[in-house]
Amino acid sequence: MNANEFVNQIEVIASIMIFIWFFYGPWQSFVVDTVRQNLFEMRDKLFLMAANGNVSFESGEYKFVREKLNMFIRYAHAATWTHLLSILICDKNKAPDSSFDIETVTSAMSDRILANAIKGFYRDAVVMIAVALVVRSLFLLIAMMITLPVTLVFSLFDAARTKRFVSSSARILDRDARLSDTTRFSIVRN
Amino acid sequence: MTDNARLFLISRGFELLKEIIRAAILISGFYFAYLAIAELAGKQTEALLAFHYFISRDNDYALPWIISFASLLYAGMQRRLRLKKTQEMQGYIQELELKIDPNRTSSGLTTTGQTPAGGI
Repeated sequence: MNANEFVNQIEVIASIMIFIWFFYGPWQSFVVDTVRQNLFEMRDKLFLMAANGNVSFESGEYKFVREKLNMFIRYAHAATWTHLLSILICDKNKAPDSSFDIETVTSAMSDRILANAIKGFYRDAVVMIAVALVVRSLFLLIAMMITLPVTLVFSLFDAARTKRFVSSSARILDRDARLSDTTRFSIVRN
Repeated sequence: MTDNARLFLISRGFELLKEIIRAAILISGFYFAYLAIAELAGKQTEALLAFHYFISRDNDYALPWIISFASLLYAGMQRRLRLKKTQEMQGYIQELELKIDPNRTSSGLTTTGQTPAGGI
């Protein structure tokens, strides 16, 4: 091996190692911080809505969505596909709890515009967490790049199934965030 | 075993697996670097190689590496500034919001907006 080949080889190895360090170090913090910033912005918007008198600070809907946003803010760093998989394995036989369902909470609201705004906050929060989950995993990122064209075509032809898939994914994410919240308390704080 | 303990064990198992894969990649990197160095050992000094690397046009005078490291340093400094700014601003926001809503709930993050050590 001559000097040039040696340099090239070391360059490739160093590049791969720096990439791994960057992806599992600064990139992870950046994604988590970005998600949290967006969730804080949503929480601020919700607060301003209440401060302007559109919804009461004491109403169940306001408290529900604010707590959901706080929960996702806390959960952002734990949102990984392995964590989600652990929840799916442990929690597969449990029936979903409807009291935690956004539809149930907002269906009782008389102001439909407000109900839709609150649902929008919740939906955006879940989408943000889902995107973070994908971009924080090399495995999911590569899988998404490969499957994205097929998924897009599929979603165009079968909108109903896509909607079902999206809502069940949102429910799983919500459940993971909720269980992570209580799990952390019971394991770490006990 | 309780549900929580089972969940804790499984999720920690996955985390351990991820750490093992990451460590294996890093160890392989060091091993291949060692093989390359071992093959060239005694033929050329490291100082000379590094010098050639920085003055070689084939390697673009190491500019990509220099720019990458400078960018990383800049990004690190920007991040520190952002955390400092967050810490400064959050106090005011909290104070103002508490005046309007005394029952205001918190996210539980640190004053810089990060996960507290030991979890939330």
